[in-house]
Amino acid sequence: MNEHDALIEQLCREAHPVRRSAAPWVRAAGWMLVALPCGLMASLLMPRGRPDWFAPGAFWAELWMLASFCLAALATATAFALSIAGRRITHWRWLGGLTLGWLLIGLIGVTASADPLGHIGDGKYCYTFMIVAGTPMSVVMVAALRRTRSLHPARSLGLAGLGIAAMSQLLLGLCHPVAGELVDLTMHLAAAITLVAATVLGGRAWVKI
Amino acid sequence: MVRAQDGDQAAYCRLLKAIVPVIRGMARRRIYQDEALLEDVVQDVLLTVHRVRHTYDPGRPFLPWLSAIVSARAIDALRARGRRQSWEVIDEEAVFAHPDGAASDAQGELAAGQRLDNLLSRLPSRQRRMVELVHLCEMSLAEAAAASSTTLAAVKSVLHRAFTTLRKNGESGYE
Repeated sequence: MNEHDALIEQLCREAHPVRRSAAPWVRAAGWMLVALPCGLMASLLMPRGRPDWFAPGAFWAELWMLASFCLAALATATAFALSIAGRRITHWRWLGGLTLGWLLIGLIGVTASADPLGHIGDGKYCYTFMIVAGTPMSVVMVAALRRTRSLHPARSLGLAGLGIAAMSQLLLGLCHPVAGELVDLTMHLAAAITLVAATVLGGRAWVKI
Repeated sequence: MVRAQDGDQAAYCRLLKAIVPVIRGMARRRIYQDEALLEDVVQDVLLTVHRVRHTYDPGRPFLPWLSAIVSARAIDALRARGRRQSWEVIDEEAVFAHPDGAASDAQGELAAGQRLDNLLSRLPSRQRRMVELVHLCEMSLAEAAAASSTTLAAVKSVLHRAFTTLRKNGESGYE
């Protein structure tokens, strides 16, 4: 008799029918459908401005929002794919390129500003907005990843955090002046790093197998 | 695996038994000369497969899915072993210099229990049951008679024969 037979017998007794997990893109779309309204509702707690979509630099701001949406979709789908054992991720270059492009568009948007450098203390609102909007989205993401859990929780949650940060940036873009400043952009990046770190540290215990 | 996902316990049982040597072979590529750790990994993989069986996609091959689980679990086990080895200090002299009194008491109790089991196992079943009822379960003779649906005289007689047999076995200090 094999020494693992007792365990196998016990596992077989507990083997009830299970619902197969959906494809990563479907799960990413489902997450967006739930997380976006949650983030939007949370962002209503913050005072909101109205961007001038006809001001100089508006094109780059719109492009940045589009890049944010694409990055959020790709990063979250990758996070869900990575949570499945044996799933090979073939689009790392696309993800890296898109992240780089997202940063570049943000930097180009800064050049369109009348005061490209900005002042110390600028961007506090942006930081708070992204954290407030991103926190409920992070909770929804951890709950979604917990369904399948992950053999690589840090990597899955890191990518999920990147998607959440991009989605928060998209929501911020709806109430942010079209031309930013370097200090302001730095605060956006600080908020993104905070969201990634918080998602990894807060979700690790819930998502690991 | 597809049938296991649908709740077919027999198919699941066959699958798990069949993949044990496969898991062992895969894990052996990472874990050398540590059979105990290897078996721990096999068990951990079985538990993980059970926990994430809903993530297997029937449209994809099974072995890469299993291989990824084995690889992750083996690496986790090696990391855990590394952490243990870097923190734990094994000092045999110190262990022997400070014997654990509680442990030796427990060993003594275990040895006495085993001796008693050994003695009782040599008695015929009726005599053994009567000794257990009266001396281990602490029943009165009347209660033992009622429990075994016999008379008080028969209980006394059986107990007498039991103790005679025990004495013959050279264990007069039973009480």
